Amino acid sequence: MINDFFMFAEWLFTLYFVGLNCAYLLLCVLSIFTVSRYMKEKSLMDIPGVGNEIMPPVSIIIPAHNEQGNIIQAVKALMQIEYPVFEIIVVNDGSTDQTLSVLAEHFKLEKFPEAYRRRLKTAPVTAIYKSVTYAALKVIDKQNGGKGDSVNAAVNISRYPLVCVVDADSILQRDSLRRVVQPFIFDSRTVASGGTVRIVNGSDIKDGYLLNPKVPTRILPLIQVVEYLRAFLFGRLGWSSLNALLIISGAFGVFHKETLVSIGGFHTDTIGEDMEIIVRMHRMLRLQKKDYRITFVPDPVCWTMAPETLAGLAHQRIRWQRGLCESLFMNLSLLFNPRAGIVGMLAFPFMLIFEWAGPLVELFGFLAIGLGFYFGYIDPAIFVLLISVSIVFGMLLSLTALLLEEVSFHMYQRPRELLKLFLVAILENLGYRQLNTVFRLIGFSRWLFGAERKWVSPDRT
Amino acid sequence: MSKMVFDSLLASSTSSVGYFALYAGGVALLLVCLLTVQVILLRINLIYRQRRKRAAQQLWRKYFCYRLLNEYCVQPEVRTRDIYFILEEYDYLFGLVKGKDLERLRASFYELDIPVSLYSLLHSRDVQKKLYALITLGNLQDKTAWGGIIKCLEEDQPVISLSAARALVLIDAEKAVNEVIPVLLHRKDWPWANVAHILKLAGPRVVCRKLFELIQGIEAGSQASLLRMYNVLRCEEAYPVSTKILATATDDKVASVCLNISRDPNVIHLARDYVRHSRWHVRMNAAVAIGRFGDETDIPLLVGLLKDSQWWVRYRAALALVSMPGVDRVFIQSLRANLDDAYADDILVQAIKEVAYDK
Repeated sequence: MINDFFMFAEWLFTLYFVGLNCAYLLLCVLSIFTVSRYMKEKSLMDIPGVGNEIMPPVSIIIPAHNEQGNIIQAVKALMQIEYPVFEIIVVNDGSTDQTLSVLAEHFKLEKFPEAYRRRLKTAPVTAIYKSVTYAALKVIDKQNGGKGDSVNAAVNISRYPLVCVVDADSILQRDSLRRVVQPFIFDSRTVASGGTVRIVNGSDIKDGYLLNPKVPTRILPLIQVVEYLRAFLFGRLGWSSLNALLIISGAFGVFHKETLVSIGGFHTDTIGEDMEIIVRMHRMLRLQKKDYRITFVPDPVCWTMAPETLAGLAHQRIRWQRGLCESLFMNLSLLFNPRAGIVGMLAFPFMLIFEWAGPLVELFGFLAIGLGFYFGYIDPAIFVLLISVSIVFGMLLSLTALLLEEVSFHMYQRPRELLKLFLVAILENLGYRQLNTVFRLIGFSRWLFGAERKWVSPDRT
Repeated sequence: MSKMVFDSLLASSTSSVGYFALYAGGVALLLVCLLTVQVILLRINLIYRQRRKRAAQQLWRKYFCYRLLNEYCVQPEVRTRDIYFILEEYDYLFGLVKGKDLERLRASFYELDIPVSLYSLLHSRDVQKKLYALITLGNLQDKTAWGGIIKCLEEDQPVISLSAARALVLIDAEKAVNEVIPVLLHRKDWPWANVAHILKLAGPRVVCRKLFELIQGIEAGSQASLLRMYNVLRCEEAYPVSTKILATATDDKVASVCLNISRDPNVIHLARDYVRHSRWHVRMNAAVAIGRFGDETDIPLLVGLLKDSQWWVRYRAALALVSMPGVDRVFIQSLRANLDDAYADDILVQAIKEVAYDK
């Protein structure tokens, strides 16, 4: 009986693991084709004399809560972005620090009687300010309501057909906005678009812009470089090619305003608002039988500071897992819903089985195999074999991401940097992944037991 | 050694799950090795390509610059593998220089003994090669390539057909508009902004004449687009034409565009009739037109639009109202005192503040 249980555990763990990795490898194959096609199109657009599109105007939204240290640099960086027509809307979401006063002093803000339409419900807006020195800058001062609520408030006063949501601590490239808006020009069905987010730790930055990307020197952010490559280059790119992308990073994403308003804007009762909005967009548009596209641009358009301490990493991953759980369960009607097409039949179940249930299965698997080995029900050789196979599969996925990076953007130019990434692709499977599983389990339990939600900046020392 | 390890694992893996895991792991390990080799090869190739490109760029930029300055410079050897770098460098410099320098740059290109004919690239199936040929032939103003480029105008890929349009305009603007504008009407995949950019190269006079010939007898969607094109190209001839079209317009889009682009004072009589139109964008553009050419008799119309259900209509009406001659602070104050609509009052306050900012 006990032997059968351990045999069952062995099989479950192995099949789950092989299934997960095969699914990722399939996504990877899709991504290789997509990225090759994209790079060819991109190279055509970069030939002198080709592609001088006039871009649609964009409202850039920066939600800010206690961002007095970053906000001036973030706004100044956005003012220099290479884009023809845009406005910047900063939302001070009930900050308890000097965010509003530093903005008011630096940009000479004056109260402005904006007669906006309250199409999305938000926490009360205290005042709207406009910069005297920079006409395209507006600041909304409002009571605290969370990131989603801040974006909704900015959507209400935004004037342009596209809205771009940017985190105050995001580092952009001058052509970031142009790259992410391109899908809206080439395909009028596009309702949302996002790009690749990369790790900025260790890179050279000036005036809020990335000058020279470098791999981080510290081990924790270094591992996250490979992790982000994997997540963006074949995770999101693969799903995007099937129009089944379920997340656009909250750090930098562009939305069609009318679509955003028509689905009710961002939810304020979730901490994973960036994923929830996309899943809901799929649910509502699919069920309404609308023809739409949610697109991922593989270009690295946004750079972010990765946590450098274990506490910071834990905080971030717990929040992500909790956000994932909330987003999936708020839109559960998508699951195996034939009207939802590939999103309901493939992408959503994938997320549920491998991302939501992943930590539970891994915990069960590791515990069962560990106990089986301890009590002598599992052969030591099998124990070693299963652990080794899981490490080799992890290496395979990380190396595939490195391969995609080499055929596309090769941001890290020095061979020594490539070697570092290569070593990290192996090392991350020895401890880091398992640690992540623990953090995800904590996130899972916090979702399950409904711990209090807070909007706080992750620890990025 | 590895065989021994494999045999011992196989021997101890008595269960079927062991076999399964062993083979899956073996395949994965093999793939890991292959991927590692491929990543290394790709990086070596990248370093080699980057070095070659840098060297070719330095060599050819220097050569073309010397030729631009009309100074003697030994012509570097043209290597077949560097052809695209040379074309890129030539096209890049072409975008930077003007006037007589353009002629000198063209002459220096013809002096080169390029081993690959641009005409053969033009007929290549490779999109990138075709693009290089189209851009360079356009920059060279090579009239002998006209027939080949015309064929590319009908290619499925917009990037090719638009590049062909650009090349034709650069070679002979007058002749090109006769070819490009009729194609424009049936190419739904051509971004209009991009086409406008190309047609600007031909010059507004040449383009406007052709647009004028076409605009009367075409369907409403294309008519609205051509009118917008008129506006982008700043064709003065467009203004009376747009008023004429507006007088008989039955399509909302056409009416909206006519009201928006018109700089003809006669449009005001028609604009007044459109303030009660059922579509908000038409009412909004009627407010814009009244703001341009209206007088004090139009103030009640604009005050009415301040109460519109659409924000953009209220906004444009408010801007038109506060910018109208004769409308001063006293008038606005009395108007606000009599307004019974909170939305109208809000938008008016915003418009006053905005116009004050602009001034």
